[in-house]
Amino acid sequence: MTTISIGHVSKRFGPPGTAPVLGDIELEIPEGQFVALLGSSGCGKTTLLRIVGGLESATSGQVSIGGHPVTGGGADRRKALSDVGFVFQEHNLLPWRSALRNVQLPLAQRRMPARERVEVARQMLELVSLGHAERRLPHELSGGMRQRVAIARALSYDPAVLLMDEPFGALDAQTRDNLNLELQRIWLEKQKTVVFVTHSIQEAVFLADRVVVMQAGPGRVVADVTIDLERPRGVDVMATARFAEYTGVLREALTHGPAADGAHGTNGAVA
Amino acid sequence: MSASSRKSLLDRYLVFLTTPLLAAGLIGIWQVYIVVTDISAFLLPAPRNVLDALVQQVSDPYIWQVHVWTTFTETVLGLLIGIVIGVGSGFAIGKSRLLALILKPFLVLTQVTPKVALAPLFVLWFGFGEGSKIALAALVCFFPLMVNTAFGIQSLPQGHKDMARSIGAGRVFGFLRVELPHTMAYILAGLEQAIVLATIGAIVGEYLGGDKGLGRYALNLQNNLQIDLLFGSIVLMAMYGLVLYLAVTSLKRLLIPWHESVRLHTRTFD
Repeated sequence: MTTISIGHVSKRFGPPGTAPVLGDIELEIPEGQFVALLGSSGCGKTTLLRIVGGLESATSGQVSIGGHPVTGGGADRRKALSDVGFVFQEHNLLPWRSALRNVQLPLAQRRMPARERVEVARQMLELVSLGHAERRLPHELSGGMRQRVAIARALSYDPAVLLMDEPFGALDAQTRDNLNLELQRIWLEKQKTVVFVTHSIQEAVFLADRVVVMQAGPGRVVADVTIDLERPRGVDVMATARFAEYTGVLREALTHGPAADGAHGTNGAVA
Repeated sequence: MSASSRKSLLDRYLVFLTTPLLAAGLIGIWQVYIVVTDISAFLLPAPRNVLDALVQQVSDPYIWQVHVWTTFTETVLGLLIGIVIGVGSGFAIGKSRLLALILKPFLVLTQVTPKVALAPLFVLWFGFGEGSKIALAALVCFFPLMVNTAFGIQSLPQGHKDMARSIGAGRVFGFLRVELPHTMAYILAGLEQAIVLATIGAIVGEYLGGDKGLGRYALNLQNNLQIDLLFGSIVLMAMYGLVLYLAVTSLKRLLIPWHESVRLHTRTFD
């Protein structure tokens, strides 16, 4: 069953005639899959994610989530987006709200009764291992902790789809590894469909079931690689030969684009 | 105790030591100047006489019940009107680019006009009573409130807007939970300026007419050549302004404890 369907999506920021940021993107993402959108900056991966999340409109084409078109309008769009959680590169926590109250924000929007709201928010903070920090304000949290709260907030209303835009991009390598491990644990526990934008090949291979490689000018998909590594994956997986093989294939796709026989669409598993 | 926390402790309590020392120094220079130049007590009374006058004024209930109270009600009512108009128009301008464009020349004009120049007109319109003082206080204090409110709304980070959209927030929810709390820090910064300006508006209004209030009281003392009492009344007005200003700063601590302008120190757990 397809959860996210991206059909012929293109995007242009300037007037007609100017170069598009996104070409003609076609992508089907089945339910429960963890997909990494990999590409260097300027390839349009963030724009694509924002279109899927309804934060940006597409110049042409359609996106639907769970059968409801996002690119349409009105009730369908609201229905589609109510099942989507977004984690940004910046934590985007409200500085006047404690960790607990930040997590409660989407629940308040959904008119959940106050007592239930607190309970759910507590569970979410436990899930991201921040139960002890619920009363702290964002400025009293470290960068990694803030992103954990942002993840808890996005998960609070139990959306089927989680869109993540380089959520750990601004963190140090150590913190990043830890959060990648945690994200995998949460994903295994919650079984969400995840679209994870990153420019790190390592991060993409470590986290994803499938890595979609994008290139700029205009933004397009140049490779689509299935990552067949056993889960749960530990940090030591990064030292294995198969991990290195995957990163090699992806690096090749990033620098040279589609292979002669057209890597696009080849769900080519590495032997 | 680490070196840095010792330093911040020193920073915090330093003024409690230096302020009395500086004040004592200035009063000392003042006293020396009087002794050396033998200046007339009608131009510059001795510190001792001013202190006596001040004690006399502070212990006089009439000063509190009539003059201080009158100026206080004028200031506060003027400020309240200024808040309603300033914050209201600030939100309107901040939210509507079109409105901002249309109103900008007019607003700049009201800003560059010395507003106390309108005081005689206000006396004409609102009479010699408190009405003209309240109007003047409101007029001079609304502008910083409006500008700060508009700026606050416009400075809402794109990330906050994205986040609000991503959780499905509508206009009302977004305004109440995101825009308003964010803008509160800016409104309070405007209020810090507005409280001072409202006080000036009320006192200048009193100079122009009427029979009550601290401004009128000071003017009477000047006319009667009671110079030590006049000095005392100026100290009284300074104290009055300080108390109102401190009230606003406390309000900031209460309403926006999370904001950088209030936080004394930052704890991080990196």
